[in-house]
Amino acid sequence: MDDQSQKEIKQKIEKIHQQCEEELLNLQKEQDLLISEFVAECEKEKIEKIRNNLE
Amino acid sequence: MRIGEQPMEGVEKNQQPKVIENPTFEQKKQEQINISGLTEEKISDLDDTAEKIQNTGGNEFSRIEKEYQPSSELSAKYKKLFDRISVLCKEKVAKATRNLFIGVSMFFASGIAEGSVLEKPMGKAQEGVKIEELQNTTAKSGSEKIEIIQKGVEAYKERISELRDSAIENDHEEVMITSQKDGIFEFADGKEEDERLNFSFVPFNKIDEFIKNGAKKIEIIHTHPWSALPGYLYDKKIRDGKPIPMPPSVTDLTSLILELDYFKENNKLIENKVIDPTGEWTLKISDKNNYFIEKYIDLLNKVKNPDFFTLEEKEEYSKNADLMKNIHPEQRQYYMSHVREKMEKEFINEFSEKEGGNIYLENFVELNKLCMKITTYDEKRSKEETMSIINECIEKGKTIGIDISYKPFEN
Repeated sequence: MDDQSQKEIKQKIEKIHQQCEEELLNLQKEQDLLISEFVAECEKEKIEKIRNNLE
Repeated sequence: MRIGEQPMEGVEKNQQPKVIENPTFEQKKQEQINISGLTEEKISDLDDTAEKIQNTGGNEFSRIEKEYQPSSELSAKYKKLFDRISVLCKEKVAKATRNLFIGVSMFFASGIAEGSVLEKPMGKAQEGVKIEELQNTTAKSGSEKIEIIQKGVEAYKERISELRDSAIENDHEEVMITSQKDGIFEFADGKEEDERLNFSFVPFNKIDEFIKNGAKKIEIIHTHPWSALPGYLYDKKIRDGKPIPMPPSVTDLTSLILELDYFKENNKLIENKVIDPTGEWTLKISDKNNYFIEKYIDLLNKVKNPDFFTLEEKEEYSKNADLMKNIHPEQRQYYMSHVREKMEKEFINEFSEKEGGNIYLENFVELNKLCMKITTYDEKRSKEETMSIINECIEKGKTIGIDISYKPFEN
């Protein structure tokens, strides 16, 4: 395999790798949002419980 | 079995292509991977990233649960969403892994072109079994039979209700096959494995068995889970919203024709159903002599001809075979784009043979567009508007020889 071929194949591999990393990064962002959302929902539920107890 | 699929003959459901690989192919494949060196390193890197995300999700979930002690309902709801992200991580890495492999192998395509052979992908028709022979009834005493039938009907209703619950709660499709003979029900499940969360296979061999045992009616029932609705994971509005009908997908429709081609006259015994969170869809070929059905079968026969695909195309197909059985049909097209183009061209040619033939193809495309429209979440769309699109679907189905009906659940 000549140098040019090696270069091309490495570029191809890099591109696929980068694409997947970006997709994973997006999933991470989604997960971060989900974490905040879960906390917010838990907070809401907690307040609701306290309010019910007070009543 | 999801919305938005294009017909991809030869890679449907249980009819998975098998690959015969010789040592030379394996050896060359290994050599190629070793030459680049980089591939495994990159896969391992992606694996690490995915694992990190999955671990973070799991840890954060446990931490929040511990700190807030939420209700079991709230906890279960979010657990499902975190699990879904974890599965998507795995899918992305699997896709990239395969892409990396294809990327490397394609580069050396000339070296492996003769390394693998694609087996004929289509199943063998059960021509030897005749309906008349199958319809012998089993003698039973009156009261005994009534009791068995009643129990069967109850069990059937219960299973349908369970499938509905699954469509609401689970993030994977489920398949159930029922056979009725003299009012007696038999059930076979096709529950998905963890790694195949988005689609399901129909075990034709199980149906063959039911037919051989004298079934008078067979139902192939699968779910369309609410979580598979486009945008579900990313749009809280959808997740928290009221489910909408999820009609049959393109694959569901073309599968009817595959079944007709496979089961021949016994296909009369088979009915397909889709259970979504809102109701039950029934699908059946109403006119096997409809131009669309006939042409589609002609096309299937063309594809079954060993000369239809070139050696290179078969080779490309074989290289993807492992992947094909592990990914959703939607993604298969992505990997098989060269075959898809050829198939689409053939599809158009086939329907252009007769004057006015294209109208059948257009109706098929229109039907799929209508189905996709139903699954596009629109909070402003009223129930009546949705029903009107469903009725359009039903009418369009008739033009291509397919009977579609939708029955909403009562509560």
